[in-house]
Amino acid sequence: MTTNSSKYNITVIGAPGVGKSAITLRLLYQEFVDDYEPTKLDSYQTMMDYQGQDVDVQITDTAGQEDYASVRDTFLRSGEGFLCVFSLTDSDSYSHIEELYNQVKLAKSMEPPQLPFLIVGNKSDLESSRQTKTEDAQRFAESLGVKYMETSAKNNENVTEAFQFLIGMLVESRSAETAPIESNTGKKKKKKNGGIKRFLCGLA
Amino acid sequence: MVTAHERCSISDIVCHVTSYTVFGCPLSKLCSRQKVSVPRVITDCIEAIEYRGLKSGGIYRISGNSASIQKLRFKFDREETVDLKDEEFDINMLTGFLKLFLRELPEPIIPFNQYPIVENAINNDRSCGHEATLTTLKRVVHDLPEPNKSTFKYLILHLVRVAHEEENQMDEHNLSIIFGPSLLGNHPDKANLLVDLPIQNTAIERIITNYRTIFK
Repeated sequence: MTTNSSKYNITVIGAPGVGKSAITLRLLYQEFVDDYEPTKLDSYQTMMDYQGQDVDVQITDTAGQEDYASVRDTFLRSGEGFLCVFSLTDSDSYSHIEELYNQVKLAKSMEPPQLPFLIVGNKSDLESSRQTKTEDAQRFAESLGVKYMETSAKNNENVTEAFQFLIGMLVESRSAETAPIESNTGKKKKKKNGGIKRFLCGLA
Repeated sequence: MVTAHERCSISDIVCHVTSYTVFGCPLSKLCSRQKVSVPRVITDCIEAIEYRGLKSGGIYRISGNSASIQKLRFKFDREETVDLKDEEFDINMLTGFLKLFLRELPEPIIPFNQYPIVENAINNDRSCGHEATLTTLKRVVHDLPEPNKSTFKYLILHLVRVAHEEENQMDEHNLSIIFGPSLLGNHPDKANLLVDLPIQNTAIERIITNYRTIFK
């Protein structure tokens, strides 16, 4: 098995305070970081295993704040896979999903099933404060043509699975791209440029 | 095309009949029309927020329902009488509403022409020392045109009270992340949010933390 050297990007989006950073840091450090600082923008590099293959993954953790919308928009364009998070205990955050989905669709000029987009209901450990039913979120995701999962960054439930799902989509679509038979699919996919990296450093 | 702000500044009568009477209207226009030193939307909102109490977790961070916030915005733009203390408005909706008003201002409360001065002070913070930065920030605030100065003070003193409540987890630092870009924006032509953000955050955090010195 060869090592896939090219990098895949997963961008984590969603309303403020839903646990985007908690999910990201759980994946990266296997611990629950209970820090209450709102994120401006963070970027991480990590290796993930996909079907026995080492995959180089860049994770972009974005701000949920509307005041940071212009930063987010830049990263919607450069993102490849989207982990769209809401909190199961905050129905307002659930109501933001559709808008975010439309923004991503527009930024990427792509639709499901090609669009690597996953809706994640986080904080499944807080069952007694749940405001969104699993069936409702499931049905809503289906109506958009995307997948739905429930996670708990606190109890480490489904976090790796959520990222794995998107990595799977990205790896598959890229290998389909390089296959000679389907030479036309995803031709527009942009190569990541140095500019983005520099931006990220600027904020660190 | 005539934009909302242009229309707003043409005449108050024109402004009055369009739906942009409050949101997107320059601070000075709004205040002189309402004959107040702080726009009513800000005082009404903050009074209602403080009436609810400032202990709510993630206050100003958690976003309220955006459809309800938009509805409320149209009511204010039509200058309908709205009692923000009514139970139908939850705390996250009220804070989201206030943040929306600040974002929609054609120019931030600290005007664009002051941005380079603040930027310079923050960038030289290490070499010139905290005291020098505070002196500059104090001068910038002192030199603000009247409605901006009163509004800024009113808002910052509220944020001081918010930061004071430990239960809400929104200290000066977290509040500065939320309010930095809307209170102290760079001119759109020169803005690079990724460079500007740390400057905006640091400046606003310093102002909240040192409000006594700043507003003395």
